[in-house]
Amino acid sequence: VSTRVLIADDSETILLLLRTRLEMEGFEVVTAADGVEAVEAARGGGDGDGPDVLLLDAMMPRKSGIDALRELRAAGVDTPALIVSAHQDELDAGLSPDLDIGGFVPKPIDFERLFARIAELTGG
Amino acid sequence: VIAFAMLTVLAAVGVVRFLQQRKDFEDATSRSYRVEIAARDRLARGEGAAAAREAVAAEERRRQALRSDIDRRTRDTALLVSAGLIAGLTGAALLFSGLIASMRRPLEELVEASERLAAGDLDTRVKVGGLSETATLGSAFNEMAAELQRRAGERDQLERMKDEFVLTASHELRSPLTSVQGFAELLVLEREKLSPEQSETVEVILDNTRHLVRLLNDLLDLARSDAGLTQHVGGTGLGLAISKSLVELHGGTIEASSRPGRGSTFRVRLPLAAAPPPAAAGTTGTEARL
Repeated sequence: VSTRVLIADDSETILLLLRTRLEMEGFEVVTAADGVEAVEAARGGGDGDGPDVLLLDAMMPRKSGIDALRELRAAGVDTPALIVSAHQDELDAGLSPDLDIGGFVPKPIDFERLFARIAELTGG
Repeated sequence: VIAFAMLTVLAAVGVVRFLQQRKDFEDATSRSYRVEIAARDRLARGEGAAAAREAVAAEERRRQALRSDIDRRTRDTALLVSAGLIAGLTGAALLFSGLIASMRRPLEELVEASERLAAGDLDTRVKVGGLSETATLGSAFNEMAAELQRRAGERDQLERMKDEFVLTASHELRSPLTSVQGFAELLVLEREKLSPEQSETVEVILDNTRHLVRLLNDLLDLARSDAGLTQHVGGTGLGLAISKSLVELHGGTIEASSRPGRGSTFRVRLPLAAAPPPAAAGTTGTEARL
């Protein structure tokens, strides 16, 4: 059974890039265009259909990746999560330990490191 | 000081009066000599010898009296002039020491305030008071300090806006760059499908992308070192960052709200300079909603 990754980004191009690279690497991919969609997709799980890892862009319209994660954590969803950001320090305000962030993925994305990190988080 | 000044004026009046008396004395003495000479002529001619001799003696006594009178007045006037001179000098000394004392404190305060201002304390102001000259100097100093403070505030705000702009620009450039680099890497992964020339082309794209990333990082470091990393606005694109900078330069504010599929609302508030006094008082609106 392949690892299922939820990717959320408001840029279709970035979504295409992430999906292509992740699928080439053997991951199953679910996409979301913003934080609201990401929360829906991540909560859909629980019966084995949910994603194993969340890859959320920090800045998205409607709901940011951080806000989406905060909402999921409050709802008891403990799926490992990675935050994609242009630079990490822009996020420092408003981050708290209980968000349980599995790591930051800076742009431009280093895919080899990303794959390795996903493997660590999913125990693969 | 007023008493001393009055004494000085009194002495001056005394001198003028004395000069008049001196002239009267000289006139009276001349008249007396002419009368005596006429009497001596009559005596020489032998006319009324007894009366003439009496007249000569009377004129001598008159001149004697006039002389002793003018001598007494000379002494009095000399005394008065001395007193007036001393009073004048004393009064002037008192006046100047008072003037100096009243200028000294405000001037000392100005010197201290200037030193504080030069040391960077732009809140420094002086109490405005004392002589009109020192008061003018004091308010001029306060105006200067206020102007310095205003300009320093403007400069700080410009700095902040610049840093914010650099951060936003750096952030916004990173997303397309991520795509370019990511897709170029995809091509590299499928190198076997490319011709040698195409492979080389993709490598050129990747080299330049990495160079661009380094430049962006440097730019970001520069902004951070200046700013202590101001908070990021984020997500809305360069257009809004530029608009924000422009509006804030005018002392205004800008707000944006957006609903997917519905469009965006931008609220710009700009202060208006107070208009020349309008006919109706009390309509001094300083804000306009666009």
